[in-house]
Amino acid sequence: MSAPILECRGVGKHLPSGGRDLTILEGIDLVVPRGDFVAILGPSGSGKSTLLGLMAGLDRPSSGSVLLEGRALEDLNEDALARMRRRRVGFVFQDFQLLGNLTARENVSLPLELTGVDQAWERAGDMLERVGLGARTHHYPSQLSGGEQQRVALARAFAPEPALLLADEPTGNLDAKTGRAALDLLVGLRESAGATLVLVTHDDQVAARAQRRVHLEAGRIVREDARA
Amino acid sequence: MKPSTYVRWMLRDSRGARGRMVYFTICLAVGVAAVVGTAALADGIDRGFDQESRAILGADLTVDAKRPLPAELDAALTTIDGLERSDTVETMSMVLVPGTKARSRLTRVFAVRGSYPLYGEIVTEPRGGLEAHLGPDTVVVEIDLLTALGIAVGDSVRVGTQMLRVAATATGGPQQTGFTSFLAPRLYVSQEAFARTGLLGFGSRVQYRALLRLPGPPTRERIDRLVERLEAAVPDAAYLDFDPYHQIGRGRRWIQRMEGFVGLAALLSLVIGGIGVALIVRAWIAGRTRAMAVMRALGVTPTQILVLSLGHTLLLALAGSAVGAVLGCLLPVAVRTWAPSLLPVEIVSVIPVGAVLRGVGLGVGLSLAFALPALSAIWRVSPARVLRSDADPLPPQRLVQVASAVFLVGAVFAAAVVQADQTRHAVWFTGGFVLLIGLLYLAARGLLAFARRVPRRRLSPYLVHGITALARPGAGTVGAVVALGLGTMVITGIALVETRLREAILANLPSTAPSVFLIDIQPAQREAVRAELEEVGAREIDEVPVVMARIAAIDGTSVAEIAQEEGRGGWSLTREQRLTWRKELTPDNEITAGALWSDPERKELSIEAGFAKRLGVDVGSRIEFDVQGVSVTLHVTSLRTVEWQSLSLNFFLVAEPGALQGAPALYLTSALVPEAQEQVLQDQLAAAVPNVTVLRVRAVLDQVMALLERIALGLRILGAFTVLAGLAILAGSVSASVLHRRREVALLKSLGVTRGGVVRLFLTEYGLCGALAGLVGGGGALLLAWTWLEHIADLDVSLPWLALPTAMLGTAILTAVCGLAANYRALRVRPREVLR
Repeated sequence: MSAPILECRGVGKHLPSGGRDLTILEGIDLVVPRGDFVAILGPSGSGKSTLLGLMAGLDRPSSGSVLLEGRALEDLNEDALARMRRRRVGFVFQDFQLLGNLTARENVSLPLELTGVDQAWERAGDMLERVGLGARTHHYPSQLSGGEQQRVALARAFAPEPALLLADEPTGNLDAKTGRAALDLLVGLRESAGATLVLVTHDDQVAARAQRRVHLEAGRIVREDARA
Repeated sequence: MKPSTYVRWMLRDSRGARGRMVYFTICLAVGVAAVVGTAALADGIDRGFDQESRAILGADLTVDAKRPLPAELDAALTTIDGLERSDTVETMSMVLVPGTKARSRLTRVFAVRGSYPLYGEIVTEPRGGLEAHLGPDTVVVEIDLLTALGIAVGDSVRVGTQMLRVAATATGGPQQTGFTSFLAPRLYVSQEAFARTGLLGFGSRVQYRALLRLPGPPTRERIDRLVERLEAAVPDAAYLDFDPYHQIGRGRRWIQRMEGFVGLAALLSLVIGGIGVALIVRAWIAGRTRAMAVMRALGVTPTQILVLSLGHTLLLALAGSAVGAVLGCLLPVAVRTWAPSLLPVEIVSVIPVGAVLRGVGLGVGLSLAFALPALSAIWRVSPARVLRSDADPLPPQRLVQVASAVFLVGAVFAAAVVQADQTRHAVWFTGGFVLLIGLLYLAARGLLAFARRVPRRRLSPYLVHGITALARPGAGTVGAVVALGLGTMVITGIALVETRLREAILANLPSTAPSVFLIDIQPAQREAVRAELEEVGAREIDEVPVVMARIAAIDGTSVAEIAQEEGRGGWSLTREQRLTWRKELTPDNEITAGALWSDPERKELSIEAGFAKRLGVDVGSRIEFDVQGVSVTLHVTSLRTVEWQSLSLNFFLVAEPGALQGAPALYLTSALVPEAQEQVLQDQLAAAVPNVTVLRVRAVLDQVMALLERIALGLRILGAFTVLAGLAILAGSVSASVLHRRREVALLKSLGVTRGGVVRLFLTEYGLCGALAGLVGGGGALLLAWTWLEHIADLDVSLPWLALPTAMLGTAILTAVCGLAANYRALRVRPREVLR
């Protein structure tokens, strides 16, 4: 078995709140093998999104260690973390997080330009074509529907061909039908790219598409199960 | 990342930033325009001096004296081959048109010999120059004299005892700088005709001048050598005034000093604009936090974001500075078009490259320096905000904060050094600026603390909400108070100093102050003058004798030897002194050392204390005078101070009666003449005793006031720049929060607050902000104005405390109106549009 792409060792996160120490996460141990599709499930406030942030080095754990492709993230400074993300990690957010002053195509080409890829502009166009938005490339996010915005976000996440894709409630802001379509697209893109996907959701139907499900409650992993 | 990618991103980033760009540009352009404008004006004047310095002098070198130029000088000059020479004799005299209704005007009479001037040109109408029109019975005059006398070319005027025909009018000519050129028009006459006028009689106050033009290139070295040679050849050289063209420039030195002060005033508007830049950048960064977090999540490093933001700031700074530079370049053009008389020389209009570079450099440098502390917040944007909007900002980097603050103060100081002509002034400027910012900052923080704690009971809900809105995060209260306060301080301070100065000049004239001075009355004319004065109902008539003399030696050491000593005497020592004798001193004199006429054995002298210090003499000193060739020795037995503001007849040197027995004296008379009778008196005296000069205090004061008015106007314009910068900042910070405001207004409306109610809320908020800025700024202005008037201008003035409420109210109204105007769009919002 090859080395895991992601590993959490005893990860904890505490935040000061009203003079007390609030525990968000506690003693998280999790290993994600390369190419896996893992869903993290749990009710609101269980610490799912925080865990996702720690996995990407967006946030720093209060205790324990997160290893991405064998490198401990806490050893890296902000610039090094950013460089690591740009090459290895893609993101999909619940509220899309497109840059409002950039067109759809510019949003997609941004990570490509960042890594200095040749023909970033053309590749961004191709990527939008693949998510079915070939005719909307010059539109700004405010001119697109929620489903369309999430498709732009998917194109942006997959464009630089990341090894690890992190998705935070990717269907949370969409109606049931649009959400299903977006999820289909996400799963399809992942399969063709062979990327690892860690997806956070509170929706059992969404989680059902994953190979493996990690159940989080009050900041702790309470249960794990795998698709038969 | 490739540079081209940075540029592409920067351009994309500027989308939807129109408001920010406009306010950034305005904030900066105002200050840069002030800096470039003043520098361009000074540069134009300096070039004017450079190009025209020979024309201003009319020569490469002039030699001046109050007595006819010595024969040794003439002899020395004739030995120089190819030297061109022209001579003038200049005096002030009343020129008159006789007749039943005589009219007269104080005039500068120039008796010229040779081809005058040697450089530059006096343009005559009809053409031909002075040489073509000056004959034994003709004069050429400036048009102002014709207007004053109500005559035309071809008519005759009386100059001294002679009737001379006006052959032409003249414009231009050398020696146009200085106060007398401002006071009296000129009349040119040939030296032959002048000799017949009798104006050159005994005791006339006359300036003899030789204008010289060297053969070949008049390099500075050659002229300096010539001066050395002449000084060696003339025994009385200490009494001669050598003026080489490259050193002209009392006017020029004055311009340079003014440039330093005005430059700092201009810098103040730029620095206030810098505060605006800081606020705009901060609001921008705050509004971009989410986008920055997304970029961070996508792998853009904080350093790359900083470079992008800096690049963005740099672009805006360049744009704002360019706009300001263009506006600034128009200032000399505007002044030349609308107020050419404001300038001592014709300014030379070239594109002021130096001024533009300086303005753009200072504009860009200061905007970066002011933006840096705000930009350092980029490091604190947590990428985790993409997942949780309440993610904590990253811990501040103390080093970055401190370094950017130090860099900012350093940049302000460096800019002040560039602008000021003395480092000392730059230190004062920076120190004062930091101190004031500190005070305004503390006042603003105090207001915020008050706003947070305002009791909610028994107060109108509008008032409470308006007050608490000041403390809302991102309300920009602190920045607005600081910037508006600085602007208020500058403009109030200038207004205070100006009005106090004007009042001091007028109020210090006692009601018995003379309104007319009659100068150079000859002994035989005393009776006639007194009769004329009595006829027009003059009061407070005071007549004193004046004896012209030179100081020959002090305590046995000759003036020529003393003049070699460092820091002593100078011009005070070698000028023609005016002495008088009096038995009793007037009440505005106070003896500070020794006692008046206390030594029966000797001929005594009483000296004004300041003048004694310049001469280096004290009670007990012995001064030997050369009174028109006769040696007289006087002993200093008292020193005194004089209140010159009384305008009474006062002298530095007063001799004991009898000490100057037999010395040739002229008389000086002052009198209080009813205003309506002044012109009558002047006309009658000009007819009866044409050599007597009539100086009318009101006319002179009017001229002084006019000059003061012009200077004040310039300062007020500069002050207006600072207020403009302050308002631009306020509008900018309001517009930065306009989205937020729209939401707030929509919510308030949906809760049942009427539009009028929202207006009241906003009025309270902005009015309070403005009132506080006005209070601190006005207080600072009072303090500065008082310090300046009391300790530097040495005027005893009472400060108008009313200025404080005025400044408060004025700033409050201005701020409230400006704040409302900037919120116009937010006020019109319909709740449904926003809350959907």
